[in-house]
Amino acid sequence: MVAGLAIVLLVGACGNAGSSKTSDTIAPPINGPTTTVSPADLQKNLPVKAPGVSSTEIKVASITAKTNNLTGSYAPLVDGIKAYFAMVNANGGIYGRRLVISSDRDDQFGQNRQTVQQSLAQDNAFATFSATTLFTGVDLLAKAKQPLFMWNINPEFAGHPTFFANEGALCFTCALHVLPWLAKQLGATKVGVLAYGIAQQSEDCAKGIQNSFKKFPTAQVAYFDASLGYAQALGPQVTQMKQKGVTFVMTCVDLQESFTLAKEMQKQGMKAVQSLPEGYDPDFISKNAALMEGSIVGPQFVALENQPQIPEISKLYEWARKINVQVHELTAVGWQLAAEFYTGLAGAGPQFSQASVVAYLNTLTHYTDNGFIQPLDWTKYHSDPTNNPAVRPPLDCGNFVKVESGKFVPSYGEPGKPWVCFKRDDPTVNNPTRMSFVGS
Amino acid sequence: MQQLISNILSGMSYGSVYALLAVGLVLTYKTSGIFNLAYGAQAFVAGAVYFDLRVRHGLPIPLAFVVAVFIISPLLGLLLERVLFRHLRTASPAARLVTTLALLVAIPQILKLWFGQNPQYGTQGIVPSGDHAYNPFGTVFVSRDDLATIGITVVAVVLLTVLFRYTALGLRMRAVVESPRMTELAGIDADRVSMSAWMLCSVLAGLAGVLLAPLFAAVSEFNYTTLVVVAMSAAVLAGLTSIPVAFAGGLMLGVVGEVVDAYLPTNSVIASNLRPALPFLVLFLVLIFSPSLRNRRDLADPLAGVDPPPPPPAASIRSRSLTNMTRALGVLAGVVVGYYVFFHAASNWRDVAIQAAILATIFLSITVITGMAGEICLCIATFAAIGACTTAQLATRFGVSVLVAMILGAALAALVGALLALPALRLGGIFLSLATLAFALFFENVMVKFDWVGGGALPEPTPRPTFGSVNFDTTTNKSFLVLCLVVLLILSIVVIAIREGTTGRVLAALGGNEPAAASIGISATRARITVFALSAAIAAIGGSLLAMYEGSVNYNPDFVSFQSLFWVVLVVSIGSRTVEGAIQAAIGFAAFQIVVLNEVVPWITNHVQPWYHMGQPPQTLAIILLSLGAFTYAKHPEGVLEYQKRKSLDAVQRGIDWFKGRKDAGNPSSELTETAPEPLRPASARGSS
Repeated sequence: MVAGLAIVLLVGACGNAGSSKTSDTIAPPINGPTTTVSPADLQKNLPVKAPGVSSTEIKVASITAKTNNLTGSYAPLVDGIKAYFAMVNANGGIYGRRLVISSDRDDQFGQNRQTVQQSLAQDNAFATFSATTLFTGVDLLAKAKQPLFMWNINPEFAGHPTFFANEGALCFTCALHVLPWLAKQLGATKVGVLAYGIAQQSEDCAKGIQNSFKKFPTAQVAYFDASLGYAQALGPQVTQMKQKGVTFVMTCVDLQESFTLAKEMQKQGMKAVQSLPEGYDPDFISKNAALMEGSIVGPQFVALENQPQIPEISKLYEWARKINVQVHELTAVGWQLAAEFYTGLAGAGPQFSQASVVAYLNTLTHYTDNGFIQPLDWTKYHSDPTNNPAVRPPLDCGNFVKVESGKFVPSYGEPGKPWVCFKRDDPTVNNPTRMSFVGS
Repeated sequence: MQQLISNILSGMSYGSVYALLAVGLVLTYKTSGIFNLAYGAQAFVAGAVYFDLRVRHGLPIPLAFVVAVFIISPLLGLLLERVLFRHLRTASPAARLVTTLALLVAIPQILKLWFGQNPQYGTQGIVPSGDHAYNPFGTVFVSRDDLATIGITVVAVVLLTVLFRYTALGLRMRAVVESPRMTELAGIDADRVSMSAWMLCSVLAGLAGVLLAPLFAAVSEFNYTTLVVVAMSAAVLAGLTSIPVAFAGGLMLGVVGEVVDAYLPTNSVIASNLRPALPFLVLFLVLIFSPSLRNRRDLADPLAGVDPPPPPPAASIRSRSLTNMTRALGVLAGVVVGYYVFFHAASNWRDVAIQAAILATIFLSITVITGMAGEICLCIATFAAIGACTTAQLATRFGVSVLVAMILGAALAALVGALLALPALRLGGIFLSLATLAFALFFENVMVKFDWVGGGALPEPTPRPTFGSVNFDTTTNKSFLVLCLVVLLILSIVVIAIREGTTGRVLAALGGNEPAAASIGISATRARITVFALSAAIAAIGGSLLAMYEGSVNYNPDFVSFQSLFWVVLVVSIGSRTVEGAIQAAIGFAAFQIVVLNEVVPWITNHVQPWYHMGQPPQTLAIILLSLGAFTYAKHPEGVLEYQKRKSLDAVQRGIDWFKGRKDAGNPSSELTETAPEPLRPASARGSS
């Protein structure tokens, strides 16, 4: 039950960042990471007095929820970091030093605070990487001013200038263009919204969808139920949605409930498309191919299935293969966070420190990991955007894959332009722009 | 009307799932006297085995089904009976409950060493094309999987009813539960009957595990345990005795849930709070108001009176000089450790010390309710949460001094505890435990969601106190550690005073013989309400300290209902009758993380894992070790600490005797123990030897 409560913390991990005009990461991605610093500077091994830094190594720690986690282990995050570090180290490291994960801790789902305490006390790490469900060690990391690179699925991310992620601070209740536009593309005039009533974030996520359709009324929210319990049967919900003519169901639930919904829709013969907020999992999709056929998933980053592959994704696959790990959603996120860390180090210069890495990253207004993720403006995106429209991204973007025969097929974008974006102040959803952030 | 009929029929499909689980719970209780909280874990084993054979290895459905349900499941039942439950037949209800709690934790973790930690997608049922649906009545849809579940559940209920009503084996099973010793006097092999009963129960759990699998996206123990909690309501509705009523109760829960889903407005506060909590509300209300449960106690052996009383605490038979020496050594060790932690150790050791002090404070509430009153309360974490939330709300939103807020939180928790105790008083043993569990789940599903309780999406901040010129800051945590130790000391003194005062003696009398105690005018009601309120207040103070320490009320990791279960297992295993037991349990728990998980487990990972790849073994192994420790409770209900103390006392005594014998040969040795009786062994220990 509790795990059910916690699992839906993930639900709100919907895209929130937008693009900006300035560009800080420029150099061409040949076979190594990109940076603004000259190659000669990157090899200067100057004495540095900082935690976890020796003349040969820069050590980082990782804290991920591996065990007791209903959604599965977050360990692949570390694989992604390792892949990126392997690439950097194969190219001579940075500042004459190798990047090393010296400590890989499991917070066991409910022991984040204790794990953070131990890591800070024992690991002597320069930075921490994290993917966790219950982020209770947030104040410790913030107080220690430890640079943190995390998978942003936690509302606790907001308000901490030393935290960085693959996405800015989350806004659960904000009205966005993307879902109403998607409804329009699907030809849905009546949509349904389902969320858990046992978790505030899930409820807020449902309110966000409702707000989106209020602001951009491409379809009517004909059914709204934000009071589900965990692992609940959905017979009455599906019956009512079917009676009301719902053809697009948006949910703020975990994979278990998405599965239950798909089964019930199939049982009752309800023809509707389902959005899967946590569905970017090829294993789940391939094992439930018929049930999930036609469902739509919106990954936080450029879907890995897009062709032509952007160079950053090619490099991810190349180095994952070299260190013999598989590429999952979390592997990609790990790669993105490691790239962000590297960018911070490179920008801080050969006499880097924790503070200078943080300071450099906080000057970036358009960081995209070479187009892998939506632009991040770290001068703004640490702040909670819920009640502060000024720190919301100027663009509202999404990229989508559709489930077809148990596989993800990129949809709604264009070749080389996977993102569908809207200007945030556009009062309609009639002006989408297909975009790529590679080289932007 | 058409809609209502449709909902009722649809609800029966899910209701049959609850019914199957409820029937299994009742069956286990009827045949073993044990309310098997690990029933979901047993079902998970069968579900996982079936998945492995059918999905991973592609075995035909009948073969996979037979192996999972009729081979592996009864073998598991046999194993549990031979290793554990045979020795618990005459043990106290608390010992039985704690053992099943430990199994609930341990079984899934052990299984996952083989099955894997990650969700295993692609579940399948026992009929081909199980998703294929029929709609015989227009708007009613039933899948093949539903039909299989309903059909097999009905058949199982009929067979079980026949077994218990009309066969000799059924009669023997019931007799063994009533009194194994009396049954053996009648020439029946109680061991064999008990073994058969456990195998039968395990088959039913296996059946549930396999039939429920296609309901879920992945095979996961969480799904099974969640449904078992719901099924408890139906089992309790049946008074844990009637299989047909449990079946009907399960169906009813499914139907009511479906109707509520269909007719309650979906975006109202009532709906969002009531719907997830409905099963727990039903469980609580049934426990409180069901006439059949009035004054109901656990099954108890009529011959239990011939058992010797539990052994006296080691401290009570120790000589004064040895007691003083022990205390002096304890103080010395405390000073040395304290000095090291304060002035030399890394900061995380200070954190460990604070966590231990706070946990010990919370654990004192278990000392009061379980150690003194003999009841298992499964909402200790909820009482702690009430304290934490009250403190946070009063301090943050109303500017009340945080220490005053902590006291007000304790008062509120005491009030809630007393109110909870009032209707629950007539319940005892497992029924009281279930009532407290239902309350915990209700609080978790309903109350915490309110902003004015849980604080909303983000945890409610909780400041540290300032006391005069002392600021219990977060920089070094030294002053806060002192505060926690002072609170722990004060509460320890209070608990000892109560245990040795009138209330403690009253509870001891009630524990010895309640009717006799009542005949001399002892009021069980007043004593139990006092104990409940006191226990709640102590837990609340601990909860408040935890919130202050962490800077916010982190409900999910700190106060979830499962936490209570784990804490109870831990404290009763170490020793719930003494303050020392609570403190040692807390120290062990806090230090476990830093010593075992950070030092021992990495060693195992490095040295063992290369030989045998176990997925993610470290924490899994740790949880298993901790859970298996609880099984010692079956052999030593007085707790590991007390058992070891008595053993140490014997060893010291022998050493001194030997020394004295050499020193003044021929002279009688002076007794170190004042009475030094031959330690009496409880019935459970005798049974296990």
